[in-house]
Amino acid sequence: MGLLNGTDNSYYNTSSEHGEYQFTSLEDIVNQFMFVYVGEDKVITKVNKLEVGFHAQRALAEMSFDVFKSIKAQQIEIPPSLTMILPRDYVNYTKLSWVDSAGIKHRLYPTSDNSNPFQVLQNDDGSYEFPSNENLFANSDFTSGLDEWTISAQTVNPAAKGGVLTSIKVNSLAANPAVNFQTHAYHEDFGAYGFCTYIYQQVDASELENVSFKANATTTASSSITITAGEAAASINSNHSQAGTFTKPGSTVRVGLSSQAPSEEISMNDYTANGITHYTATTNANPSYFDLGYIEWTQGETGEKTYDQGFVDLSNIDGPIYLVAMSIIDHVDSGVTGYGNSLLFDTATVDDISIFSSTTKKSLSEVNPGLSSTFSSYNAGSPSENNNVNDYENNIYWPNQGERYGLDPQRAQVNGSFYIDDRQGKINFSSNISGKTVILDYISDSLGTDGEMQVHKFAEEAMYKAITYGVLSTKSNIPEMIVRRAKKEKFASTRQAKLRLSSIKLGEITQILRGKSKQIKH
Amino acid sequence: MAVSVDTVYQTVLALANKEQRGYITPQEFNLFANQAQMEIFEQYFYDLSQFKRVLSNDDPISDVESILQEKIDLFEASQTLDDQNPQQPDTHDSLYPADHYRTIAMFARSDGGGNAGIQKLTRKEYQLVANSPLLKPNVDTPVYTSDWQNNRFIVFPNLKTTNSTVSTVALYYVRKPKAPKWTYVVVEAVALWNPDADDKQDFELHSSEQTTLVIKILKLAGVSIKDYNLASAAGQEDIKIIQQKKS
Repeated sequence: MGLLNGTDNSYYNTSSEHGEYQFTSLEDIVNQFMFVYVGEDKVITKVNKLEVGFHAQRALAEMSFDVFKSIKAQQIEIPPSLTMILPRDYVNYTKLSWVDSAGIKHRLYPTSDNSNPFQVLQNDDGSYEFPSNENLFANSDFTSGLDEWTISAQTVNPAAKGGVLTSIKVNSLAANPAVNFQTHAYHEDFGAYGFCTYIYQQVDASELENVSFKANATTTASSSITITAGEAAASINSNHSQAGTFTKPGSTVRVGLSSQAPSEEISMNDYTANGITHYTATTNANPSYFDLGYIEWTQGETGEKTYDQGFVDLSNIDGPIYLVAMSIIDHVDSGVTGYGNSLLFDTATVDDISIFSSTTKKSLSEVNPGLSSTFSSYNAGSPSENNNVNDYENNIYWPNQGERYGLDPQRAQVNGSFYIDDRQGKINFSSNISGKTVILDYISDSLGTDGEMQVHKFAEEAMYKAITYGVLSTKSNIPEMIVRRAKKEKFASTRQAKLRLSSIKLGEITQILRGKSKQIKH
Repeated sequence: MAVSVDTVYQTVLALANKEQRGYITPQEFNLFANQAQMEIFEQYFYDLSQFKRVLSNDDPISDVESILQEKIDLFEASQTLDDQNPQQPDTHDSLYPADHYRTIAMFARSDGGGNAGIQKLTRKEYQLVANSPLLKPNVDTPVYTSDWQNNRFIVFPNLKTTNSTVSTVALYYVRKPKAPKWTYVVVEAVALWNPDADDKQDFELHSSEQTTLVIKILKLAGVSIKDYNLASAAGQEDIKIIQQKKS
């Protein structure tokens, strides 16, 4: 009958099992409930397991808010933007604090004196501006590196086979940064290997009608390269580098719009195995992928190009569209093995992608997306708080000593403040928190992952009672007396669970109460 | 446990007084026998429902609910079911077994020996739960819907592709009783019992049903040979048995 599985040895050597016995999984609770609480001669004669699962999850969420201990916390260094992204499973915070060098947490307090509203774009006369010819995509000139762009997977072979075969990088320090695609297409005994790598952004096309686009790109032409014996020996892996003359395939760049996100497949392999020739070129390399239009540069073409087919009509598209910039560097059947030599890379660059709408925008525009001048001012402010609070030898650290009369208690603290911008899903901090370590203690609904769906044994009975009440209260033809009884049992067991989980220990309370006889409190 | 088809046939012939009222041929008997067996079998489920609503007792030989359950248990079967449409990765699509009569339960069996119950939903219910984050079927709470027109059911999600520990989908069900068959050889224009025939089939019902079978077959035979006295007498006897069972 015992509930313990396994041996002491396995428990103490398996970190994931430590402390596990205090919890019961939600799945076990539902299965046990179905057998013990449901059936003939029972309060609930019939119920679908899905319904029980629903009420169990609801009960778990409610108890996570009110009964269970808050165990979730995140710690970050506050960046210059003074923001922290809310955790993925965040529901509410229990405490925000910054940590000093002694590891002591200093509580931060919420402020209601600031916010980060949607700052409406206005004309000089104050009227609202509905811009046309607006650039629809962010960071199209790559001044912020590859921020906002989604990057394709890259291929990295073992070092013995050439190591890094594809890469996509931006040199943000350059005067005019551009995205640089680098690919090593090659040929060996079994076949030939080329790659189609890409970056893309997604935009909602529901408000767009006609757009046009242009970009600046460089490509390389097919060429021959002679690797000397010395260069081959100095390459990434000299075992697989050969001296000789090789053909580099050159590169092609396509920039365009598609109604589909690109496939994750980037290879354009052509290989033979067991006498059968396989060709698994990604569908992205097919020009038909750009079903809305594209511009192409190939074999040494460079410079700015504009989409020359007029405007792309997006009036019939209601969902997202994808702006994709891709580099196609395919293999050549040169019949020689040359991988492993960094001199055999081909490159292509793309820069200054601009997408313009010919029509006026239908909805309001924001001056700086996600950043209002109100928040910028809050960021730039210099609060007068003295932050030398980790001097625990000095108990008079407050600024303006002797001038504290009449202070508003909610502002009478030196730690700093924050407010939660639910529109952006971020926490904004006062400027004196910049660079500090901040800890967010928060609660979730315990439904994020299967592993979280567990209940402390102190609250197991409360779960059964909550599910019983949930099921009975939604059924018709249940006598009200039974429903009320279930409700009372639920509240009583929830109270009991909360009391148990408060973990009030007599010895600890006694120690705290000993202080009550001190005449002078510190 | 089974009821001998020959015993029932001979009893029916004796009671029907074949010389005066008319002979019941083996072909007719086989048809009546199947009809009577199915009538008794189907009634089990309604009787069980009725007796679940009344107080039962802890003695299995006098508790009617236990007696009925025991009679149904004779037909319990299980089968593991393969995915008939592996090209569709999101669902597990299987045919009901040919002898399926009523579903008891469906389970996903894991390699570790665990069983996860698969809940039945109507197609309308499935459409509703599939769009709900808290109710959406998953590997812990899978569901199935039936497509009776094609004699198949579909499990959502496909447990074999979404959860590697699930090895099979198992169906526990009540199977259809096999049709009884009194087999014979004709010797000098007389049908003689041939118990060694390959297709001989006794009644599969509980042996306690022998009397009920005889009475029900007699009732059907009485209607067939237009002997209303026989049908009436058998009918009254049938009612008496039912009253006795349900009182």
